[in-house]
Amino acid sequence: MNVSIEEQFMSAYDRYADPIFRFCYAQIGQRDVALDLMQETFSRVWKYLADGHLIDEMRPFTYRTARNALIDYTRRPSAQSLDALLASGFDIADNYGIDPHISAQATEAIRHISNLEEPYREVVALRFVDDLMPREIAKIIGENENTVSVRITRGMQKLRESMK
Amino acid sequence: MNELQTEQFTQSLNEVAMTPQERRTRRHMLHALTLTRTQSSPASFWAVVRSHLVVTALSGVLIFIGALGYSAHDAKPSDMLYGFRLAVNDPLQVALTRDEGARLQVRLDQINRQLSEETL
Repeated sequence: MNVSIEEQFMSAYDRYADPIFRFCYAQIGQRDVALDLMQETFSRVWKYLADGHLIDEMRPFTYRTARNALIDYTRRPSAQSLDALLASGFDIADNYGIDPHISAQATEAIRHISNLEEPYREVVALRFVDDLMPREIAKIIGENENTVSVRITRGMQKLRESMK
Repeated sequence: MNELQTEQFTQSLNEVAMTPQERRTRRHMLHALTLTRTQSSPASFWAVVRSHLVVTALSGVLIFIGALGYSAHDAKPSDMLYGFRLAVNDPLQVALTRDEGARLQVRLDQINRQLSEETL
């Protein structure tokens, strides 16, 4: 069955928009920025398709694109480095307020993940927000599966400590 | 964090989602992006080449058929293109004649011509 790239793209949006939004939100901790990053992700996916490229596996491709969009965002001169902020004692939830669209528990969960340092934050976010397996995460971030499993384990330990 | 806590943690994270309005608005904006492609977007290099090749090939075929038709116009029974004249030129001449009466006359003339050529 011939599916146009427009249909393929909109189908990808319907399927992955929320997980991508969750992934961005878990890393950035700001709803508006997460929405913009999600949109930027899909804009880039569309551009890739419109340029005539084929995407074999949409899910890892979309996550890789989101990851790149996040990296570009944090590298912007106007955007402050999240790690630098965290290192100086900055607490995301205290400074960005409560998101009225999600529960207090969800806000707390986001806060704990956002406060993790890299490279743990990213793999823990991927593991929890879309239930991705280490093999899939490895494909997204370009690391081997063992490295990802170790990072998840250590990230979870840090998460447990922060939640005590 | 035990298994139950992990499950609760995952569940609370899964609550994090766009509102229906946010999802709709962003979807609409992205859909508008796809529409600009169909209107005027830079197609890929190979798509352009392919479309040019198709047009060129079709033009070549049409020109070839036209040349054959022109050559077959006065083809006699002994000529190679006689069959082409009977199968293509003559029916086309009838089809292109507007008036029904004139069409019948054209067909009669064609039959008379054919009879006289084949009896010679």
